[in-house]
Amino acid sequence: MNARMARRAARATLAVYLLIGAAHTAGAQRGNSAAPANDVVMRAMRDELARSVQQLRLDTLAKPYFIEYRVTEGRARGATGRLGSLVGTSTGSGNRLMQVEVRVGDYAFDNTNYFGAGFMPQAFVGFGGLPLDDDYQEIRRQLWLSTDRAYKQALEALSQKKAALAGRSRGDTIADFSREVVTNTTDEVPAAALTDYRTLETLARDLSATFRQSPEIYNSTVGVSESWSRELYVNSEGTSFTRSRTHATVGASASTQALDGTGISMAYGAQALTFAELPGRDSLMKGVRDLAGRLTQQRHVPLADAYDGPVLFEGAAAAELFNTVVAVKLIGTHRPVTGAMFASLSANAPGNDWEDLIGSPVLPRWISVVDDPTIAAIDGHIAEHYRVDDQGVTTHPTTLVDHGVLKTLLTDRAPIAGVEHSTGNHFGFGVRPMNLIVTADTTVSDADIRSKLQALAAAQGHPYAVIVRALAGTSGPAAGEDPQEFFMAQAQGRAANGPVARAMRVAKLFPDGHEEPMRGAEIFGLTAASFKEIAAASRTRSVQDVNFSGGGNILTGGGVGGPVLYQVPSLLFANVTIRKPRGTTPILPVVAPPPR
Amino acid sequence: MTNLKRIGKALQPALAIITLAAGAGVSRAQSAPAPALRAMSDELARNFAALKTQPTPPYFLSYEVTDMRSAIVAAEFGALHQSSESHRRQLGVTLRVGSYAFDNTHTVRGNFARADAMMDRFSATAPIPVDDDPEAIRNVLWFQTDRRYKSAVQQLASARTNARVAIAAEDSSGDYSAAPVTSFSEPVVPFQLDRAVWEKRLRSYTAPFAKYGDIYDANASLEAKVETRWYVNSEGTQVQISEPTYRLVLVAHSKAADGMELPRYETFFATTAAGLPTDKIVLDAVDRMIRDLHALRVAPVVDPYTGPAILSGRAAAVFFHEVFGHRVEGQRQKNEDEAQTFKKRINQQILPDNFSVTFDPTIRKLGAVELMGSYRFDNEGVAAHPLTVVQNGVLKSFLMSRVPIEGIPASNGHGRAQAGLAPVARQSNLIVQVAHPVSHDELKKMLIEQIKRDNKPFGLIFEDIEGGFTITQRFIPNAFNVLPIMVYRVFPDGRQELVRGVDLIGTPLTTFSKIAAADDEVATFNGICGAESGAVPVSASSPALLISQIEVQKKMKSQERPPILPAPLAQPVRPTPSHGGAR
Repeated sequence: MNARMARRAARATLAVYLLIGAAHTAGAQRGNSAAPANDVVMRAMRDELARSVQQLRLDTLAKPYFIEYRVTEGRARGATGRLGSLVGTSTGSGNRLMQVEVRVGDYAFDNTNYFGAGFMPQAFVGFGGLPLDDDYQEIRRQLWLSTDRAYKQALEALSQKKAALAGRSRGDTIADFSREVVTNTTDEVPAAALTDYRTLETLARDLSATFRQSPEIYNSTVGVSESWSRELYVNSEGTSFTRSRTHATVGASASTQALDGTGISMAYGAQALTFAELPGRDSLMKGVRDLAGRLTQQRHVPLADAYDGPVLFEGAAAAELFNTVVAVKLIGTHRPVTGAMFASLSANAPGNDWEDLIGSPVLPRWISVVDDPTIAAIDGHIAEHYRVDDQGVTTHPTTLVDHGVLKTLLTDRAPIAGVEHSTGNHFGFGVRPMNLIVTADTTVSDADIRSKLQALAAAQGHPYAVIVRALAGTSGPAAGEDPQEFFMAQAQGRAANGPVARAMRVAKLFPDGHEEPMRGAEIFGLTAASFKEIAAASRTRSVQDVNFSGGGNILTGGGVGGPVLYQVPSLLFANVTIRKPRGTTPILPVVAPPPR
Repeated sequence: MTNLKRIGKALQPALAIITLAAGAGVSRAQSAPAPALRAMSDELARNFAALKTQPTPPYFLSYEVTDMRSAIVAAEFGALHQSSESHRRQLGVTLRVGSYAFDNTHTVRGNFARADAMMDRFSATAPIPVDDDPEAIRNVLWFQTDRRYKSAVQQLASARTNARVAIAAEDSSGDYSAAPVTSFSEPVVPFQLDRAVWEKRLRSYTAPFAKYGDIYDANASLEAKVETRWYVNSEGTQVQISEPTYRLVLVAHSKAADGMELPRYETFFATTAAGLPTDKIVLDAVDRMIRDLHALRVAPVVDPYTGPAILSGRAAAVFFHEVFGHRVEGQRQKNEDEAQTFKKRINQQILPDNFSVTFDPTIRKLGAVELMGSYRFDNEGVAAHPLTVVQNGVLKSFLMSRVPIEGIPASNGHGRAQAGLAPVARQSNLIVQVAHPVSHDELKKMLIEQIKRDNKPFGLIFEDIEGGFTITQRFIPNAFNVLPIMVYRVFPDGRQELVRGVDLIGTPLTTFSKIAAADDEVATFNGICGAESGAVPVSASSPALLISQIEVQKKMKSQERPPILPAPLAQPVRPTPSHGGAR
């Protein structure tokens, strides 16, 4: 059980709602087996692509050298409960969306990797809705209009990019787009019927009713969802694929204020390929009950004391820390050419310093890191996995760090210095790890790592050592926290001079082995360089779903956010700074909660 | 955050049909309040009593929960794009500390004040569970009340300080007014829509567009909705009202060779499914849209011009909504950032003396057309009643929520808001009435005479308008911009020709002073108006107007040319030639 995972599940539920809306009548009428009907979609895509490749050209300007069409369709059902009541219901016919990308120029220099005035990401230009009906003519019409818009935008971007470089020398001569092997892939799961609404709603009501027994929790919701989605892809090089997936989640989140007023929140979640494969009702009920119990307890836990010394990041916390500090360094993206207006901003924006460290040691000699988008499960945890990435590049395990030495970064078809081909990591709008596995050659048992922690603390003269078990999410304001303040703080980059992370579950470990919980610990002083000095790693590795932030920005390039599955041992650091939060906290509710 | 407020992006063009459960003037039987209303009333009493013991107690607390059951079906070029149904509830909390004379909402003048007030407007809302379990509903009410209370106490402190440091406000009226205590409950209307039937109908409505390769966007959507509103306040008012609406909107776009976007809209509104138009009527409208779009593609572009013009009834209705209606909203007379065009003009002549303007939310129909701006109670629990704002050309009143202004101490039932947002004075059913109208033909004759008298090469007829916006604040000139779709050029010899490419612009007082005559054919525009308190349904009705001098400026235009390749059609159809001519 871990909070991040549950947050992810809760978020997934929400996202599914937003994107897919609702899936009732029409879905039922059209049946749940999508395969034969979708031949119409693929045929329309291929036919319009062929016409565009042959004929699309504006006057004497450049023809497109590359066009890709992607159609995503999906159906989802879900329900959200609060204290035993449904928060809202929505049913509908699913959705079907298209994304068209057009490139002009050539592989070495094209309209992409550019940011300047009037810039519009291709993903938005060629984005639009398609009919739910398998209407060949109408699908072609929409693709035609999107291709036209994307082509014109590409021509403008290319000329602007050329203008931006006129009179200035380009920092590098890396190609804009890599040539990759043509693939034709079918990677589909059987499309089973989605669970009926009544079952989902009953579960959401029942799970959320658990919180009726927790009067100290101010806000709580439980989301239950099941979805099916399918992607169809063709490009002008001849690559094509169809991929489909099902996904079911349960996510509970709850928030309240600690006795001193600070907002605290926690989450719990479970996911599976289908609703039927989710943990049983009793197990889910227990998960939600435990969440309620932990959060209620947390209200009464005292605030953290200031501390500079050894810290053990155990289980979930190790994965979350690795995600925040190291994973963002593993992404290689081309820094875009910027228009004059943004040139100095771009020059001053810090990029990923690991891009210059390929071939150099970045972690202890006894640690290796692999990203594997091909595995279906890690230690029984379901892993998101694909045969090809979103650009049709065959996926494979990529050794990123081999015995401490950085071997490569994860890339897509936009190469970087030293990585000329895609590692097959284009997912969504850019580069993202999928399943990151951290392996240590030298490990110690759980008991030994605790002893080692205690020994280090004693050597430094501390009366106790610190164990961090979970980091706080940063996805939204907690109960009692002013949302305005939260978002202001987010916007100003809480992270700039602020803590690397905020601990959610943290304890003092005393020499006699007993523990005392603390709350609100902010963690400072850990950088990617600190990971070179990891004091010890545990033999047991925990598997955690963590939301990856993506790291970069529009000026420097960088990864894209999304869920990443981690397998990481517990990590012991010799020197970490912990502080309690500063600033004011809101007071507790003036009026007692309504009687239950 | 920009200070430019765009009012009334308003009046989305659409023939809308709203179905209200009861006909005009039929009062429905009072019915037992719903469980949600009881939970609201219990929680309100409990919180109000408990907060009363605090050092800064509230003097007013209200909850409004809007229960929305709705379905949306949408099709494009003959294929279904969306079909969904949802049920949700949204809470709005108003909590006031201080007194009616001076409370936490007192306008804080100076930097950032407006941004703060804007943020606050959106922070008083939260979703409420749709099951009727009182425990779950009361939990949200309690939590949101606590949030509002804490922020109200803070606001009151800063408002008091600001009142001391800033110069005395021009308008010394209080911050809130008392309102009569009411209790009203009508039965909750059940929601029903056969989506399968509508999926078929909307496919058929949009299929005709698919024959043409030069129409780039053509969709039809039906939104059917039952909105049930529960309102309780600490003064003892309790209201339960329930109203169904059906709105069918058709939108199609083409593009001229020079890149100009050419839209065409049709909307239908009814309060019953049966009140929506027949397939024949809709398909005729579709044919007209296709003809108009093809005619617009080849219509000549007009250069900036000043001269006489006729605004058709629908165009005049939009014009009045934008240019007049927004300027008589009460809070604009109080806010010192506003230009307050009419503030000092009560009992003065502002329109020709044969013109009267009323806002009447209590009428449900004008002629055969159902009106979208009808309601029984506003969002502050105040009963709706007709209001004459201009009588015989003389300004008599402003639209009022419960926020008083100098000279008008009480609400006249126009405190309106989108579900969950804080109400302000908004329009309802605007009706322009003209004594001694002329016939439409006579009005056209008068236009031609005016063209000749002014020695102008032509005049203009604005037949249809897409919407518009207006600026009512002081820091930039108080202009309006109305966006016409179908404009005809009329020559001195009576010939007329469809043209494109101009927006109608001007300033309100000057334009009103140029109104020369009106005809006897009243037309109605139903639409959704957007302003500070969100999107609210409104209508505007007016006869056609002759204006002795208007000004048009060039329309903003897309720089993107029409698609390069022809549409991938199996059998392309050539557009039918169309002749311009005002209808």
